[in-house]
Amino acid sequence: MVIVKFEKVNMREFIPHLDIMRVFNMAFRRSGLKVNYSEGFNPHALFFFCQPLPLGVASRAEYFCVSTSETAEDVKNKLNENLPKGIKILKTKTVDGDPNFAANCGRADYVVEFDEVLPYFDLKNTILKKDEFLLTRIDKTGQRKTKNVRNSIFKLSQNENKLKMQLGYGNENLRADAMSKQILTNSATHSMVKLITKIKTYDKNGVDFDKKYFS
Amino acid sequence: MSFEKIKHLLLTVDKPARYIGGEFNAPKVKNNADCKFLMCFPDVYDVALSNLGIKILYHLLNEKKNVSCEFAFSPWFDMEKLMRENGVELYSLESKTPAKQFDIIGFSLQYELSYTNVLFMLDLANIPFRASERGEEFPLVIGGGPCAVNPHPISDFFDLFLIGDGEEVLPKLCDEYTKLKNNGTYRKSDFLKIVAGIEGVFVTSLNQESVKKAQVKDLDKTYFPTKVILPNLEVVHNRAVLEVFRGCAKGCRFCQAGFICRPMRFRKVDTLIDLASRVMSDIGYDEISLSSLSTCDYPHLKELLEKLKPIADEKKVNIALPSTRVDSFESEFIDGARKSSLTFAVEAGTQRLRDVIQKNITEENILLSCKKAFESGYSGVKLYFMIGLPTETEEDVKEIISLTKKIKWTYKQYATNKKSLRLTVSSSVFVPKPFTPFQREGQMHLEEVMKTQNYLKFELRKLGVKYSYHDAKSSQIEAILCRSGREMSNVIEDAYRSGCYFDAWTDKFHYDKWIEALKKNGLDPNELTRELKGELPWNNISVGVSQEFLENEREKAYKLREEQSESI
Ligand code: SF4
Repeated sequence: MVIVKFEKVNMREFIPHLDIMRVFNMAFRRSGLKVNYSEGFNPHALFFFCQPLPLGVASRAEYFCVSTSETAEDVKNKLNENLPKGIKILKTKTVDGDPNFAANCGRADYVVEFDEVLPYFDLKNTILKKDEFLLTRIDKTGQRKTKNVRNSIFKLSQNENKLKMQLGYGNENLRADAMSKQILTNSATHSMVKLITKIKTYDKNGVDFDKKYFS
Repeated sequence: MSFEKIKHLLLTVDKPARYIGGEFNAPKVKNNADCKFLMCFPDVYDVALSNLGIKILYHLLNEKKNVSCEFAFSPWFDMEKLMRENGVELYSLESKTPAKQFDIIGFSLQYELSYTNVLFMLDLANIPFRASERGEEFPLVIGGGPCAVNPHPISDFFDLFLIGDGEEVLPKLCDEYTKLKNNGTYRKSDFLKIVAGIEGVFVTSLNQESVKKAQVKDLDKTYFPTKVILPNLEVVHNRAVLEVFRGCAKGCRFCQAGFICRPMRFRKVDTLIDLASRVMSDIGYDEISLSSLSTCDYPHLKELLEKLKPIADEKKVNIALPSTRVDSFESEFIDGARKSSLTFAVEAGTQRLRDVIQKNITEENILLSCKKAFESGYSGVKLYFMIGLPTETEEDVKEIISLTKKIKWTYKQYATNKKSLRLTVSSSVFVPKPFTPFQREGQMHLEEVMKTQNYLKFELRKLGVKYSYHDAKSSQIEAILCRSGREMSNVIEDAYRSGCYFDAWTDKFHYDKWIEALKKNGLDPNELTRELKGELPWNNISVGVSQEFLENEREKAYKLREEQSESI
């Protein structure tokens, strides 16, 4: 098994998760790296991804595990020659078993950039010091659904026209795009989100995946 | 750059990956190229990138030092809206350059119902529709592909057409352009006069008396790309494609491709094996399709498959053969998972009508193939028919039902699979096409087609067979568009202006608006789909088969009808 950290930037955030998996699948084939296949009627290459990101969210900290006997070094170098611009392998490491990223991820850091200068948001007093933060969304049947998501908000800070946030990821998942929108709505601000980038992934106890799996 | 304006709004449209470029294997854009070419396909990204032809020409042009070729496709409605609201013009996928800034814009014309999308794309590019209204400041607009064999209906919109194979002519055109541009003497009209002398080039303003199609003589030595651009999204045919040969000698009398792509030209087995190995390592698909108009007619198919199979197996790549004959050896090369369904283009219900259209398939063949297939575990059959073929009678339609029954019965007798039989019948509508023996035929009347479709719907439902059919109305417009002359340009423009585009998408097709546009120009759809008498609009184009030959073939077809009705 080899675990992989990669980034997905430069408009590749608009490629849906299924097509990202296809990109890796084909990159492995092109690079001649052998991947193990599942048994059964319809064998597929064994990749184990983390919780997929919503379309439009870029990332500098994505992870997957692949069942292969190739060396970690080869996986990194050869894959990088075979990936489209914007998708890049950052780190690889050989491990004994599948660490099950999907089940272990718990939080993630995001940077949200806006198209205009933002007003100052009093995030501390309006959100962090409160027990409740309501997120409203319209569900598939067109109904408004409101939910308290305070437990999925770990950190929030503002730096001019950027917001940095640490949100629940995987279990108790809170989408960064939905959260940003809610903050804008609550403050009646008209600016729009320009880019959301996930920059770190943590486990449930807040340990950085890099530290937990790659050191 | 104007695309930047809408980048952060892309999430408001469906499938934003269609509009961002950056595909793997897309060549680097040469900013200082002498000739900047924009390869356009008048449909959405997913459809466009399923077409092999544009990919061949795109990579071919990009291999030339002085040419840079980029892609542009039709944005879907939501993206169109976003672009218009933000003043973003049609741009190239790779460098996001506005279409207007290119030297040459080329459209691939694969089906007539995409004509309004040509106007749609010019509209989004802020380029005037008519060649006569485009001064030196505008790019040349050129067209090619199968529809170009009768270029007249859309002539007003184009400066020139390439008729026939593009691999040799298109680079020549770019070279001529570069030559004139580099010595500072480029003027559109001079350029057009010069290139009118190249075989396969029809210049609309000159309306040459006779134009011969261009044809690559030696397909084996003809360029074929192996590092093919890889779509960002799953497209219609997501697999590597290898063109085994060009042309088809079967001579089905309704089939335009069969007549305009003659003669048959083959690639050698070793060439194909070399291409296949490179395609597999350069692209990474898990399936490779051996493509042509009728791959089973490749004379060295067995040898090709025997050599290809081990290479493909090693890379875990499946080989896909379109329309496999199960009774032949090829089936053993086809992967098990794909063995589930058989396809027959039967086209007509009776042997008589199949003889008339020269479709070489007998009921005995079909049933025998089915028997063997069912015995080896197949459980699906797809049958394709055409409604409204010349000389068709009620009898021919009824026989579709009885063939269906016979297949059901065969399954009952021989099936080894416990699943129930999945039988689907599809019907299209006969469209008389230029350069076929049936080019002058009338098209079956709309009501008549619908009556037949209803009959089949009713009868097949009784049998529990799935039936799908092609819309009669769009087939009528298709027939009108493919056979008319220059007068049609006004109709097409009127139709577009009244909201017709994406006509090939059934739910976007507005028959009433087309009829209105025809009426406005004093034309009657029934008149236009009648038998054509006198001079044919496409008489100045020659695709290699003579008009005498085609007339002869038509007579033969009719003789068959008479002979057979006498013997009854
Ligand atoms: S219908 Fe198929 S087999 Fe017949 S001529 Fe056309 S391409 Fe050939």
